[in-house]
Amino acid sequence: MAALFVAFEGGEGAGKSSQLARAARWLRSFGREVIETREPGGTPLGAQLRRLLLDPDAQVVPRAEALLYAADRAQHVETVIRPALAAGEVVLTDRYVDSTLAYQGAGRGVDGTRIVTDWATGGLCPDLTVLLDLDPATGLRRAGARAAPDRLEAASLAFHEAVRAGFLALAAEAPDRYAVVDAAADPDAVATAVRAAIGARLG
Amino acid sequence: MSDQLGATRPRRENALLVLVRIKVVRRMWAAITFSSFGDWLGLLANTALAQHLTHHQSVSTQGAAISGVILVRLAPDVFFGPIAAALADKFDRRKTAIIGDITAGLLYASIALAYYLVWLYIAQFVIEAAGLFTQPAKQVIQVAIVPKALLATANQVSLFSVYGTVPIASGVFALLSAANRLIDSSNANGGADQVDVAVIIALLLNTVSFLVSAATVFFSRRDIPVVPAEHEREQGVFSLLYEGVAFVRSQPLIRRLYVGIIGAFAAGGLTVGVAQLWVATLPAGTAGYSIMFGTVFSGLAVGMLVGPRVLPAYPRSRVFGIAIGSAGVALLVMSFVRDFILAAGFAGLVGLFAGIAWIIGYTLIGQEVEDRLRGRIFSFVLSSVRIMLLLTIAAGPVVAGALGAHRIRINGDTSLSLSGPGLTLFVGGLLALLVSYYAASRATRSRARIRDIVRRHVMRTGLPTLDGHRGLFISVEGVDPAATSGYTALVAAVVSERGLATTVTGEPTDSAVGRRVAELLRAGRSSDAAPEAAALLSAADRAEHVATTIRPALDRGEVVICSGYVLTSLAVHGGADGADVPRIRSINAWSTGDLLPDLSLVAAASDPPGERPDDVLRAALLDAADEDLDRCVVCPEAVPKALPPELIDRLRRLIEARASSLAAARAHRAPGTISRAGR
Repeated sequence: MAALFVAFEGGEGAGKSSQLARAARWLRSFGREVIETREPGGTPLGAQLRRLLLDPDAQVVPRAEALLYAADRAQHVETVIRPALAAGEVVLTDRYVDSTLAYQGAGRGVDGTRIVTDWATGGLCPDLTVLLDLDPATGLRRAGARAAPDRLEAASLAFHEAVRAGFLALAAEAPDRYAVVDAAADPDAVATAVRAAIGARLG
Repeated sequence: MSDQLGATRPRRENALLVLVRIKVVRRMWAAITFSSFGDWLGLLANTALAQHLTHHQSVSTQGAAISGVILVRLAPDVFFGPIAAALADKFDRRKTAIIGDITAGLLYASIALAYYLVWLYIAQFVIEAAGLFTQPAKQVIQVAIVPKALLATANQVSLFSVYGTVPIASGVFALLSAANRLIDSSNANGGADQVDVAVIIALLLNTVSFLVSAATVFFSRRDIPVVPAEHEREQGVFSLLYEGVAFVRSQPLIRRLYVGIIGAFAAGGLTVGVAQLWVATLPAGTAGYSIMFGTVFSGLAVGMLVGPRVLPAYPRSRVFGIAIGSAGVALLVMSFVRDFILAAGFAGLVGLFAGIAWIIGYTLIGQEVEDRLRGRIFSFVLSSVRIMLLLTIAAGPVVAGALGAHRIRINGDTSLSLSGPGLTLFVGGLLALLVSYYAASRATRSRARIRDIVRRHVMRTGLPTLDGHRGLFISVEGVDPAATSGYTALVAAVVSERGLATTVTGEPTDSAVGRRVAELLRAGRSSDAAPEAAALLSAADRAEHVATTIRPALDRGEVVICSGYVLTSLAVHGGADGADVPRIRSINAWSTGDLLPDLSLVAAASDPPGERPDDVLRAALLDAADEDLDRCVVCPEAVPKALPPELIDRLRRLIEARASSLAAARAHRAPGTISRAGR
């Protein structure tokens, strides 16, 4: 069976993790091998980096932040994603390149984040990116109800507006590789839309 | 799997669409557009009013009255600009924008009610003074609400609103004037002493537009952050001009571009300035002036749009010169034309060519000036353009009055008559041709040439490069910790002996990231982390290190001695672990913002590599150093006792070359002690 690489992207509280889990259950229900993974933190090295990156007390300059994400991603691509795809599995990742481009690039205004992300992935691009689009005010309220905010979640509303704009700009650039889903809708409706988008690429 | 991610950059249309989706950004645009519209309408109405109030008097008095309006608009910026910029930072921007716009709106209404020249000047002055606060306030708000990556697009759009409202404002004013004339002519009492209703309506419309702008900010106040994002501090006009002139003088190509742009605007300004008087010599009236004003600016806008695509086969710098020359020719022809429609057509052409020259010149300056200076040079150019435009608009009528009307006799019967305003246009055309000649004479120099000139200049004077810092950056590269720390201490001793302020530091750093990076890399060495991931980790640590420790120290004029830098990474991750060396170089160039050491000490025994694992690293280090030979000195001792004479010599020469900019160690420090960096 053909491998499939799907990235779930979106702002805080958009429901990436739960939608990813639902999509995975659905794929397994008809016998597909599915790897659920995430960035940062999809590998043992990544798990340590994740602690460092999301620690509100450890502030780093934007370029360093982008490079740390890239290191996590390089490890992730090399040790998790590529092997799984080579084995013909479906890889669902919670965040990928677009998060760096949107958060560090559009949000923090770091130039040249593409250089870093390109290198980290060796040019590996998802077959489909599910962008769960949500108004940041709503998203942050949802995320806030969940737990104490980490560093990214604590940034200003203006920052999250910029991030959202960054995601949408990426989707507008390559519409056929993106499924932009309104994440404000009912979770079941979102799941249906996600299934439709993935289903269309299963072939 | 598609491997196509990358080379394409976000397109402008997308950036625009994305910006439009943000509600508060949309509203701020509306506010800027409304107040710009009011601003231009105000300029038209006030100059028309000044002329109307003095229309009993001589042409030169009328000219002086019109110039007065424009000078009063210019004065606050020149005299109070710096103070206002400093003060504007102290207030809540939202309140500043709202109160400023309301003040401007009410003052415009008062001009209409008073209908008196002196009050016109006073009110216009206060309006401009208020603008000094509201405009930076709106800019800061814009910076705070627009995603940084989209700021360039946002600026373009707001520039477009500022200048794009010109044709609308002049259209509205032309309509009002035309309607007024119709009423006037049907009205039997319609005499010269009658109040100009068009001007009054325009001024009241103005009031409305400013109040709408204020209201827009008021209703969006909750979406605007109180504490703005960091922004570049506004510089006073004078210090900006001083710095800009110094830079422009030192760069031949930039100088020509600058003179060309300013010249093009001077010609455009003369046209606009005498338009009112000149149109009065043609049968068209107030509406005619407004149409003339509108065509020039419409031409300007079209020129800016098509400029980049005009004559694609020619070098831009050539097109730049040609455009200015064409503007001059159009102006010369226009000065002889006695037909209003034809004149308006040529006025549009003048604007068109000036617009083409402006956008090309502006783009070329953007390409020629490096990132760090670009913002300041652009604001210098913009300020100069503003001042030149206002000065020539103001000077035009005065010059016209002074020149007076002349008749040129050709062959006895035939003669050409030139009014004072016509002659002024003629002078403007000649000026543009001259400028075009100057700009075209050398505008074709290549970029490399400028770099060479800079480089030669730097080598002669020993000053750091333009992008550079005041300090001296020495890296000690190596894979054997004992050797690198030994050499680092030796270099530090030499430097501090000379009483120079020194920062000794090293990678991986002692920061939160650095400690974690060191831990991760040590724990696994090459087993745990993929080579690319490991290289990215040290690049992350380096980005943090450069930004928080190395750059600041160099900017203070200190000597920075850093053990372990890019070469070490190349050796460890590239040579030994097998990550791609050119890519490590490019990632590190990005992470350090292209900061390279002035001198690198490479601690590696030079004997041929053997079978031991250390030898692979050492060979990789020497390979890396080979590509940077002019920067590197290889030091072969495993247990360093002294620095090689070559290194001491290089170090001495570097220190002497930078002697004027290097900082001395602080007095209270005993000689030989060194400040420890790396928190």
